[in-house]
Amino acid sequence: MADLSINFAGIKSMNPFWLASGPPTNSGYQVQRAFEAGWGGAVWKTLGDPIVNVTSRFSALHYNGQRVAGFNNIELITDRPLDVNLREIAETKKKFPKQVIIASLMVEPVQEKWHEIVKKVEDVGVDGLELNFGCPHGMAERGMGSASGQVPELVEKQTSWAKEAAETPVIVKLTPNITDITATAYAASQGGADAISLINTINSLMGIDLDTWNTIPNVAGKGTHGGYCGPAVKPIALSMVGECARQTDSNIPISGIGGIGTWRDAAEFMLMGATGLQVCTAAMHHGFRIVEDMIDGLNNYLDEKGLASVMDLVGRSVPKYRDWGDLDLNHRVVARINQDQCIHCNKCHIACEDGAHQCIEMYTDKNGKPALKVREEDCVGCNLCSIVCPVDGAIDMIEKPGEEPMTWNERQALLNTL
Amino acid sequence: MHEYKIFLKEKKQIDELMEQGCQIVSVKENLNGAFVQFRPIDEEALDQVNTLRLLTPDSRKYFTNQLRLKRQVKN
Repeated sequence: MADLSINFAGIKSMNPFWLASGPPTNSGYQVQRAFEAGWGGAVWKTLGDPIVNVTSRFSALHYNGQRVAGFNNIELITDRPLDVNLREIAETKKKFPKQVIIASLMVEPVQEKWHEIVKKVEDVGVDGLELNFGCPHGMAERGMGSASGQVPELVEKQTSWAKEAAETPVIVKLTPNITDITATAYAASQGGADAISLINTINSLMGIDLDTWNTIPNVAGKGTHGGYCGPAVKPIALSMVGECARQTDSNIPISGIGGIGTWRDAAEFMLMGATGLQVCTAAMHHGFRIVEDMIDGLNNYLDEKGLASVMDLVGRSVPKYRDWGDLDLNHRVVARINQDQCIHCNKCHIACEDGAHQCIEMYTDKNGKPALKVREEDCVGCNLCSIVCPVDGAIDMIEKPGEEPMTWNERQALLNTL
Repeated sequence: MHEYKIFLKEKKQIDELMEQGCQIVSVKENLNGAFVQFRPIDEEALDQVNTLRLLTPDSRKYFTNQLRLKRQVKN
């Protein structure tokens, strides 16, 4: 059995699975249930001046039979007074001293306000702080959340104010609603952040009701943009984690967030540079006990790979994540249809004809049956046919021998010598 | 569409010029493709410039690979 414990910016956790700040970490009751289920830590729902929420608050994208492929919320930060939350944090910490509790914080961009809240939450024994510069709705209209998080100068300044008062590690949670997330990641590190977490939710509107023309969700006939999360955002989150992880001017630890719901997702985020992981939507969808499968699955995976510690996974795929110009232009794969497995649905032919490079031909085989074949010399190896094929194993992408590797950057350098 | 046939035609043109002792001296790439200029190594024929307009991406890869190969042989 592998060692699943992590050391995240000095915070030791029994496993990498933390609940992200959100509805599942609203109260001591919930966080204690989560710890009983096996979560290594929890980021308490964001603390700040208590707010007033609206109903309804959540909506989901169900796609082709998959419930909650994407999830949207317009709920704000905690609606409970700070002293109530602090009392429950202290109680929880006392009952579960080995589990990690991080306080998520959001206040106005004023130095004294950051000092005040940091001192108050550290007094009850939290293991670290997460500065919420990511929430895209509601609080942003008041100059907080992503309104702060989209301005690198504000990220740096507020991080430095939190650090002035903090004795525990400071994690800065980044918004994805920005052109280049590495700019705010860098600003956080310049402000003295001990770690970053990403991504917060993505600006979104789930839909429009075609009968009432109301937005989904709506509040008495009116709607607003919310924060999108869940499985659908994982590729975006993974890319942003990778972008931050491969920055050579900063090796700041990363807590990966965004669509993590299985041990596979967890392993992918760690391979792409995340030391810790945060989960919210999957816990809301399936309950706290999903962590059991995540722990078992990750353990088995590490055993299969012969790795003694989960920390051995961290960042192993980062060197493989490069700029387009570093990719080999001479690398060549082509599609090959396995006639034994093909069900002759012709989806690959149609996809190739209409959406790709017109290289899958229909013909009649020697037994008079319809068949499909790839004209390999015209195949550009785009993968579309194997993506649309409904039968696993019916289309393989075969590697073909080619010239020595040459990247676009190398090609351009060569031409520049003429 | 059989783009490969166009590539084969363009490859043949490149190969023939190389076999005739020409070398690539200039490449201009723009909206209309790659314009690759070949000139004989033979000093007496320096004014005989051939320009190929290459349309296919495989040809654009091919002439670059050939150029690199010649450089490697030279060095």
